[in-house]
Amino acid sequence: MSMRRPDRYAFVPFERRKPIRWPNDARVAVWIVPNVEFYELRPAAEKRWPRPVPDVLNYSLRDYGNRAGLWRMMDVLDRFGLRATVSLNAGLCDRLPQVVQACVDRDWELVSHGTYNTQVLYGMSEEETATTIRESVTTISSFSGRPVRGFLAPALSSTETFLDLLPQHGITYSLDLVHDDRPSPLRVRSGRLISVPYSAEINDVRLMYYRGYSPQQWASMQKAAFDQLYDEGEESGTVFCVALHPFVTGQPHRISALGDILSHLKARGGAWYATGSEIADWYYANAYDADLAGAAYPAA
Amino acid sequence: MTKTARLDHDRFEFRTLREPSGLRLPNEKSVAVLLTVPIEFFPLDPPAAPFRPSGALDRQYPDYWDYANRDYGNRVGIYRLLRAFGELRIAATALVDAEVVGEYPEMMRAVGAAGWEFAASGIDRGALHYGDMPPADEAARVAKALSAVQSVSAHRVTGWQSPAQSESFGTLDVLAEAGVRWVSDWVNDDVPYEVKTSSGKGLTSVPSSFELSDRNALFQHDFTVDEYKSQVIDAFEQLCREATPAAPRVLPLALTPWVSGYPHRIGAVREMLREIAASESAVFLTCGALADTFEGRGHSSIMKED
Repeated sequence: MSMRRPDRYAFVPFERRKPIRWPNDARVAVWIVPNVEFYELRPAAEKRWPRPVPDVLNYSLRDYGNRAGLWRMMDVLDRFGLRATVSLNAGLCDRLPQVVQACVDRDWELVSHGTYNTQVLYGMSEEETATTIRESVTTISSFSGRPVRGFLAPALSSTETFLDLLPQHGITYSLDLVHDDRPSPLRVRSGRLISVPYSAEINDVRLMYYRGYSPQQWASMQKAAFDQLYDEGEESGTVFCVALHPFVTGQPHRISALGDILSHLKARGGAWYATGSEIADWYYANAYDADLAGAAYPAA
Repeated sequence: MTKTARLDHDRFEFRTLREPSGLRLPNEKSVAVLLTVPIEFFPLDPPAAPFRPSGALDRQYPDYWDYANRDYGNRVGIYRLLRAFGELRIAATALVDAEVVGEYPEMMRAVGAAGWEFAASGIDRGALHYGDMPPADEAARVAKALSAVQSVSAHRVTGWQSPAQSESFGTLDVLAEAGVRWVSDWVNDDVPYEVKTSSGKGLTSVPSSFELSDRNALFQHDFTVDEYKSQVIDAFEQLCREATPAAPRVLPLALTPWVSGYPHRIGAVREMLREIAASESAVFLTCGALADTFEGRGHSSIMKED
């Protein structure tokens, strides 16, 4: 029997939410999330590529991200002194260790994005899903020497219960649900899990790769989104996520747009630049209990 | 813990932009610009399998409308590109479908007379290389395509781009066996790299454009030509900023006769090339000249340096 709705979070009216006050009264928490991914040339499952395998064009375009694009993005983030939270296909730890090492060297946070982007959760049994989560988390944490706290399902795939399995493997926050601009508790079978807002609508891959927006249009939408959250930050803090794909934004014709966005953010000030687990930790310590209790301002 | 890369195939080594590529450009230039011009035949009755590539006729048969649009490129658009590049003394690389050679001999002569490099690009846009296609069939296609293009070329044809940049698992081996020295199907780098083949014969992967090709930007994604020009200039300037003579970069640009060769676009494209040509950092190379340079065979076919 299929579910009619996920029923994973509570509805809290927009006008009556208990305000979030970020550290130093920052108006917005900003996190930068590059997706560092490995696509297999010959995936076990069929139809993971638009063309018949070997889909040389699409494979090599994604390979560009790891060979070239990511390094350009690192230059930009280093220039702005920003640490990223990497959504990482764990397979890179074995396949392309120098790529993962460069992220670790920058003290970037690593979250699990499954094993390979060509190995999706769809159709997996709960046991298989648990194995994928456990192995990806273990692989990444033994590489970096740090616990893995966040999870984003590979290629935005899902099963009905994958969220339930996350807390058992040390995951405290999910990037999979884009239902809000602020973190919120998620209902899971056992343990605690929250959603930290990721980016759906203005994700670089969606706009510039699939829909053909220009880098200038993308940058302008990013800036508009930040400005709106910044203005609303007078009432309550929210989360602004810059989701990136090295094979998209790391192209020479697009990389300057990333610098343009970050310059805009920095110039406005008043933001808290954090990693996913820093946002999650702060939320658990300061807002989780109240939100879980359904806290809201009483209706006028 | 091992820090050595281990790709899921053995075609080439993983190498990042941070590592030396071994490429040095002539005259201490730091950015090589490769103009590639596909000269294509789109059959009126394209097969649905293995897939229909970008530009394939996709209206109901008989699709006179799109056929004529693509054919405009071979009748008119290509001549505008020849003039625009000629004014700037740039030699491009023509990626020629075998089917075009016999059909437009005069046009082929004009391309040859402009000093462009000829490279082979399969039979036509309905004959894609794919998956597990029989190696004998593929070898026959490659031989036929090479010999067709060789018949109109004054220089030895050494280059290849598969139709729609689609390969089988054996394409690179078949190409090397047939004497091909460079291939431009893979879009994974800003510098050339060495490809491994079953016979051990050398093959160079030359950077290739996909997203910044006029077909992807102007045809698939409907950018205006001014938006396109601005992205190309942004890419060029970015590469200039990060490149040095010791660590050069390559900007490949595919300009298509039936896309850029239209009167409403050619002006901006010409202007874009003029801006690039004015830079001290840039050198326009054919793909073959870049491969020769990369492999240390000198660089004979550079027109810009008088």
